[in-house]
Amino acid sequence: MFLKRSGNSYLRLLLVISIVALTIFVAAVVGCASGDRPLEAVDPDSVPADPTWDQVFSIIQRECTPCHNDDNGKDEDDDGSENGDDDDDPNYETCEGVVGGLSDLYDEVFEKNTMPPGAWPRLTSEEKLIIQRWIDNGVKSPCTGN
Amino acid sequence: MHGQLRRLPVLAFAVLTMLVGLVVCFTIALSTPMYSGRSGRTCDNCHLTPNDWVNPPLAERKCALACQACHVDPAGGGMRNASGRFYGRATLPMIALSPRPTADWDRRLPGFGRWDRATTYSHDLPLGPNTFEESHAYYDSISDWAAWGRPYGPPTKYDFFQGRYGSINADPFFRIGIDIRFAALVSQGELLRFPMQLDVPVSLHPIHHLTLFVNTGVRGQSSGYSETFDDSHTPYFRELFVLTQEWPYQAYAKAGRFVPSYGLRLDDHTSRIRREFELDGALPESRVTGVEVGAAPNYPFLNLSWFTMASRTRTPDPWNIFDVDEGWGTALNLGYRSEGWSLGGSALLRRRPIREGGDTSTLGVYGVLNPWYFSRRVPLTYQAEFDYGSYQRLSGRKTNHAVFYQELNWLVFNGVNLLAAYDWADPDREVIDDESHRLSGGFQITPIPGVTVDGRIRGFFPAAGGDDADFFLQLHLWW
Ligand code: HEC
Repeated sequence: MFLKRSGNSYLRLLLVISIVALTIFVAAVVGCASGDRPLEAVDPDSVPADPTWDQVFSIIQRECTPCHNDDNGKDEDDDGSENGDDDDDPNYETCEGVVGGLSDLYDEVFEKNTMPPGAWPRLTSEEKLIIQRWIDNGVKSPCTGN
Repeated sequence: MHGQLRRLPVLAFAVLTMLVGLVVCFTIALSTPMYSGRSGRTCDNCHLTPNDWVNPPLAERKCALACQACHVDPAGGGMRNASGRFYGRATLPMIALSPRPTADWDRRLPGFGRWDRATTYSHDLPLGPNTFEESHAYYDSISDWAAWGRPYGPPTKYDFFQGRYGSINADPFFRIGIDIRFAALVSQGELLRFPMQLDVPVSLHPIHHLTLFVNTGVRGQSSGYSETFDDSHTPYFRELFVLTQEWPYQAYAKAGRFVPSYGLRLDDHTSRIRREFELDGALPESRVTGVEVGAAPNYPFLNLSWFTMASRTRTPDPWNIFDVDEGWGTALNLGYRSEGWSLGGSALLRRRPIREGGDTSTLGVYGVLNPWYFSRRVPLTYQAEFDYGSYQRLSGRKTNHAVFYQELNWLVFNGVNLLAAYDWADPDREVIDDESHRLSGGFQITPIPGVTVDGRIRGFFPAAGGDDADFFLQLHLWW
């Protein structure tokens, strides 16, 4: 019994030590300088200087449209959740939807960093810089006519 | 400095949660696993163990904990072979359909009754053949609606022996499987339901040493069923390859479309150890076309592949597996998987023009610790992976990224698993505040073979702020 127990404590110790060691190792990696400047400064050529609508729209279609589209509201109504016809809910299937909801988009993506929500990874530095530059360059798109 | 300070509480929280979780688990001292990691604790969760079994020479042994021990695709994932199916019926669920491992007789959910009376040591039940020669007599005992026939020609010593896996057709001519995952996500107070995945894998094994494997899959979207099928890229061939297997030391070679063998192939495709390296199992973009060779002589294992692929920025043709662009890649995955622990290393290289995604070089180490093997009183399994690599930004400049993942499982009863997982990713080591931590805690419940419910609360902590959490629930039907 005693032997069995000490065997167990040895194992527990081993497990705890490996997890702690690994976590410390990662803490070290995380800790030692994981970059000190934004992408814009580190590598300005990493995304186009003047991103096109297509480049912006493809990011939004990939990262946002799966949840923000036309039928989402209808689907959700069917199963009784609250999405409904709430005017705040963006619809990113169309150019008008994206451009019309740009200030909310900016708020969620750049100010709050909360979209995509929950544990979905947020937009990458490249994706953010593309959208940022597109906005800075005057929101060129087929539906704004520039 | 400011960024560093802000990260500190999250990190402290991560360490603390893991430690508190551990202490709680240990105090209650019950159980845990990751399928391969935990299955090393007892032989009869992958096959029957006849009392007079004699281990064959190494070259003929099928005992391994590498992916190919349980999966038709030797690199793992998807359709299970005879021993994988046996495990899924005997050990995994609350109610077993194949004989429950002897070591698990007292591990059923209380109040659930003893539905799994079948044992390997009862005289009323087949114990399975002791030798290859004896296995020939077991073809009459096949009772299997998902696998039919036998490959042409006499059985070889390298096939799965008939009878070792109960009534499962051990080495079928034709096998069809199914894998459906429905998911629901509660995020920001809203419920999103979506069919995440539907796979229909088919394996055709006309003669010994030769298999044609086709897995057709549909990619789910959160907006509903119609979107899934309207999407021009679904359905598509997730895997399609010719495989030659059943060679000494479980050596094999395959050619066609597949996901390169690298690191721990988690079924959580949102995990950054998969996504960050273009290995996300749910995306057609992760598929490559090439050749792979490997072997699993008992505990060491090796998978080596060479491949071509479509540009990172486009989805390859769903049906034409030769729809690839310029450039090539290679992946090496090797290690040692023993009953109580395993250690592996992986390397992945892609060489292609910048406009197609550029060069990547990645190295990874991973390991599993299964204290359950050493003591029945510590039924926990732990696995971790760390990857570090370089890639090119669109400018052509190289930079590095790093990802870490760890997960602890506690199998409370057969069919009831609790898990805690943590991952961290830094997508660009030169860019400030792009890293993030993710903590998940949840359960996996498998009431009967073929049905698993997976629920997780996931907290996400980006260095740039915007902490959030969601609840993810998945119904997984598999056969
Ligand atoms: C996983 C699904 C999902 C994805 C992907 C997603 N969102 Fe959302 N989004 C939601 C939910 C759920 C809400 C509702 C939150 C609420 O009403 O408070 C929401 C709300 C919003 C809102 C409205 C916020 C408000 O309070 O008015 C905006 C704007 C938005 N999302 C933008 C985006 C953008 C931009 C993307 C892509 C970068 C994106 N979302 C990706 C699920 C998603």
